Amino acid sequence: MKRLSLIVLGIVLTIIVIPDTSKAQADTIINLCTQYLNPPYISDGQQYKALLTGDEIAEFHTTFYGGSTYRIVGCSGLSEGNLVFKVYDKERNLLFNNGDYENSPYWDFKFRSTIDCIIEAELDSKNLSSGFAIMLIGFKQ
Amino acid sequence: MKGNKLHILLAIFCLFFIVFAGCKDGEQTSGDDTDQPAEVEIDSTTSTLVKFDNTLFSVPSPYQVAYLVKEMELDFNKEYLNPLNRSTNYTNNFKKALNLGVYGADLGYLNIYEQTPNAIQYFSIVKKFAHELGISSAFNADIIKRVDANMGKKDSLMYIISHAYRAADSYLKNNARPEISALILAGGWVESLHIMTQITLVDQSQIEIVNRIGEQKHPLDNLIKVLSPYYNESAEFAELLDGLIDLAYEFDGIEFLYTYAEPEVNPDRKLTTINSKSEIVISEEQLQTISEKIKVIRNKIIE
Repeated sequence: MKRLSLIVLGIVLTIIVIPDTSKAQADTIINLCTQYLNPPYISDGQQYKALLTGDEIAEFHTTFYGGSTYRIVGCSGLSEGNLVFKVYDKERNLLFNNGDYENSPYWDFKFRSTIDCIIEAELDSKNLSSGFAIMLIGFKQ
Repeated sequence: MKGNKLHILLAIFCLFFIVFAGCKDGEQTSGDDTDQPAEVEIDSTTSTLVKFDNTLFSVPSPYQVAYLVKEMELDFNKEYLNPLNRSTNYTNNFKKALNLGVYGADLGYLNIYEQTPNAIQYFSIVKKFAHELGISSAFNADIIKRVDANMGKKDSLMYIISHAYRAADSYLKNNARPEISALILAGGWVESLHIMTQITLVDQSQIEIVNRIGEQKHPLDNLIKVLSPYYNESAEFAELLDGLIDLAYEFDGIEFLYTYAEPEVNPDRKLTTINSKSEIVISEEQLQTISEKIKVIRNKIIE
């Protein structure tokens, strides 16, 4: 009986601790990310979050307006440089890969014309095997 | 024997706690906790593709339209906006969420044109709706203080308000209320398209605005995909989506020409210039029909 109560207690603690840990991890990542989205960059009003494991890739489609400069911020884990993000046009031409620049947590993009893009993000397997990926988009006129 | 009873009681307590904790996860909390872990759905069509916050699509900020309109040096026109006295008409969450998006876009327009007294009034409605939708944490005392301190400083204010809308988006997605987030997004998008079409009704020579209207083809497709999972939530949801889908048929006729060009990278400035070019071919008839259809959709939202 003692073993049963210990097992149940373990489950309870897991239920309590895991969400708190996840929340703390997500909060830390968001704080890491938001430090790069300060004026003159204005958020698009959305926050993109995905839980990634192994070689999973998260992606979303968006439109960038011509004549605007955007900042894309991508973070994962408790330090910088854990997230690889790529920007493609709708024909799947690669426009940018932060992996070519030491997984820089942010990058700016100046669009001459309005372009529909696909943004992909994955964990750098050298640094992380699983975790939240957070992406933010900001614009300046 | 006494020890065994104690363990049984402990086990019962723990099981009760598990059930209680499980129920609590399903609640739609309305407190100040904005960053609960997200529910992430893995796309079943592929083993490696994951959706960001259960969506594959994003819609540009309505504030960008406000900036564009101001850049065109067009006069401010309060007639474009949803009057504040209508705010009392919105009694359910569906209407409140949509109009939180509408009033947010209007607030952006007012702010860009430095209409401070009006902006203060619109902000108070935004706060009210946010509170009633249980997302007052995104418009908390600190945000309100910062807004008050920055009234009249349009860029600072735009930054603070967009930050608050992002916090609301995050909170809603993390608390299993993504349909409310989608409605706020929809309201903002509809209002910004309405403002642009109203401008072109008066002056079609505003090519930048006409092009920006045509460029809404893919944002509209994305918006429909964001809203589609909730089609059966209510008759109102279905009606909204049907209206947007009907509008999308009109956008399908717009030609969107695209030519890829090699981007230029400036690593020192962490800047990539995207040289690819796009061109919009939109007729006067298409513009007219889009204007009429968006007016109908908006009227249903703001009535």
